[in-house]
Amino acid sequence: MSANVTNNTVTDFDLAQASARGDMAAFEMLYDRHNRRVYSLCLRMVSNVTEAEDLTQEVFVQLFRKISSFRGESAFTTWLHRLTVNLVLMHFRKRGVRLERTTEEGEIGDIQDNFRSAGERPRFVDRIALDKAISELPPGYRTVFVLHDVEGFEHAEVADLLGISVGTSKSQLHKARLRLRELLNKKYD
Amino acid sequence: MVALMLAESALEIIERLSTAALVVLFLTAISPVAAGQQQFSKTFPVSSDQNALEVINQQGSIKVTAAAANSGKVVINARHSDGNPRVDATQTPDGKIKVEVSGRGLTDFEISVPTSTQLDLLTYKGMISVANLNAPVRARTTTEGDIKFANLHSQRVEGHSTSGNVFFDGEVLPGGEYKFKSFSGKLDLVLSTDADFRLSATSSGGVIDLGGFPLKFDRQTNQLIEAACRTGKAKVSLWTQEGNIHLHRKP
Amino acid sequence: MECRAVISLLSDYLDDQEVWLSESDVRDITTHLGKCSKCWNVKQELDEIRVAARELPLHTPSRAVWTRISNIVEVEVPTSKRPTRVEAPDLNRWAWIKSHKFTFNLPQLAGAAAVALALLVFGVINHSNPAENRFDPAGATTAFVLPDEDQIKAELTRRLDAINARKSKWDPQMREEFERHLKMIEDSLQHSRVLLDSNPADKVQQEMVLSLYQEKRQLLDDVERLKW
Repeated sequence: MSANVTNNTVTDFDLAQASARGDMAAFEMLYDRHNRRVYSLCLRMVSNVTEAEDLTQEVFVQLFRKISSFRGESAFTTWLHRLTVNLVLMHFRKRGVRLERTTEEGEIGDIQDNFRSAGERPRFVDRIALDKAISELPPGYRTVFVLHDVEGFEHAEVADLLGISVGTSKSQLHKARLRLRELLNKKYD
Repeated sequence: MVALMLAESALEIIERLSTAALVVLFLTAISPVAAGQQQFSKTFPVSSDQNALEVINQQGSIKVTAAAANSGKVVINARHSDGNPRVDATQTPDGKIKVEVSGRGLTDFEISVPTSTQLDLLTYKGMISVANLNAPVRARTTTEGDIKFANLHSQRVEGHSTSGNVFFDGEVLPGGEYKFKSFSGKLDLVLSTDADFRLSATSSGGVIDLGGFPLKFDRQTNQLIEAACRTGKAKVSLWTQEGNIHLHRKP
Repeated sequence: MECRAVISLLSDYLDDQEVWLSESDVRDITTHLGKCSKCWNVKQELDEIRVAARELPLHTPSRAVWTRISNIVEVEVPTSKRPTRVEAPDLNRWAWIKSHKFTFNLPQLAGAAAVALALLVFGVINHSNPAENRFDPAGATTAFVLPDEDQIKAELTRRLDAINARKSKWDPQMREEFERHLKMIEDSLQHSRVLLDSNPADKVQQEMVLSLYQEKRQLLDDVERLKW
């Protein structure tokens, strides 16, 4: 079964167990199923194709090495997700990328008054434009936005992963969304 | 004294006129024809077995519901707002009906047809929904606007949008052809658990969730699936460049 | 509640208002949004961003990534752990081949040699064929052209030129919608074309490119049908 195709036949847990026994075919099936999700997460967090591919490679190599420790307590995707995020954050630390640290209050700044009446409002977001806009966010905002809005982590999980408070996670998410709104509005002006 | 009486009468008249004016204003405000909204309504008699309807809309929704099998008529209602579009509805001698909107503005259609009416629907921007039909249907939204098919038992169904989502809930009949495309929207199909079809599903950028149907694969990659569910009697083609594809089994 | 305060709370309002906001805050925000078009607009746009974020497309890494991964991890699998029989040989033919010992008799060897010779001859003929999908070993690859692709492109260019000549008379909003959707398709087509050029034998990519031409054609068909 291919990377983004699911049909509820062989489970990830079965494939993980087989991979732990040295079955490369099973490991390749796991790669086929999950490589796009892992790569997309890396790409959106680092905004660089080469770095994202290197990180994807690192994730799956680490996955292979640790796979015998996966006991099925959580969903495989959740486990793989966390592994990916941890590796990306380690990568940021090695590169000296500083994620913005703002207080919970912070400054929202002036909201652009791009008022359009409901009847005139075009459809605001197309996915290609949003992807591009995400890549233009500062690293800290981008990380929180990708983890929460794209990948579906709760604020408590984001805070735990990044070593920040829940309040800071919420504040950064809100600022990320407002900045994206500005970037997308510029595109349509 | 007389002046006072005259003044009082004048005041009374003014009061009554003001009240009347207010009533007229109120009725005007609640009237559907007020505030730039206009209505269009037309009914066409049709034969119960062979009839066809084509609708071309500039901007706005098209909602078609098939009523009783032998209703013998197509009823077209439209509401315009925001502009001054014009609706032309004509019927050819062989019973085919064509509805065409021209000019700027928003037109929302609600149409009732017999279940055997073939449909060809196009709107540049807006939603299309079709329900309860047994005849072939083609629906297209040029830019954005979701397409929704509900309770269809048709031999041929085609739904195509550029950025809208396409939803299908109905039967896939033996020998039938079902094509659903969206450049960036989602494709969702709800099929019965014992549906029998041959599937071709392509998504370059999204996920393909095959819903647990028992499939025998002829071809499979990250982006393309060609497979048969049971004996492959119906043909189902799904294409999206960026969206997700989901098959759902009807409970 | 003032606009500034409302806007600062919109993410909480959209995400989990029962968790993050008090009932009175929710009420105040709702009331304000009912009266203030500007804030309502901001709320709508933030909501669209939230929803669109969940539906972003997945990207695909290059094939080289798997090659590198499998090269690294295969070495790490202890010999004792490698299964003696691979369950699904069609998934990893190379590993299956590597793990098996092959013995051939003379007729089999002769047959294999004949096939190899035929492939060699075919390869030489193909190499000297001036067909457009020839790989140029000097480093500059000629672009791979699909069957009928030139005619398709010419037809679409001619039709688009005719549409562009009339576009200035269109409703500005409709024109903007058309241009935006056309650009989406053309950007995707360009990207797919690049992928196809890097791997012309990829049949799936060939089909993708043709589907995108079809998508572009459908957009032009509609505009002509709408009589703009």
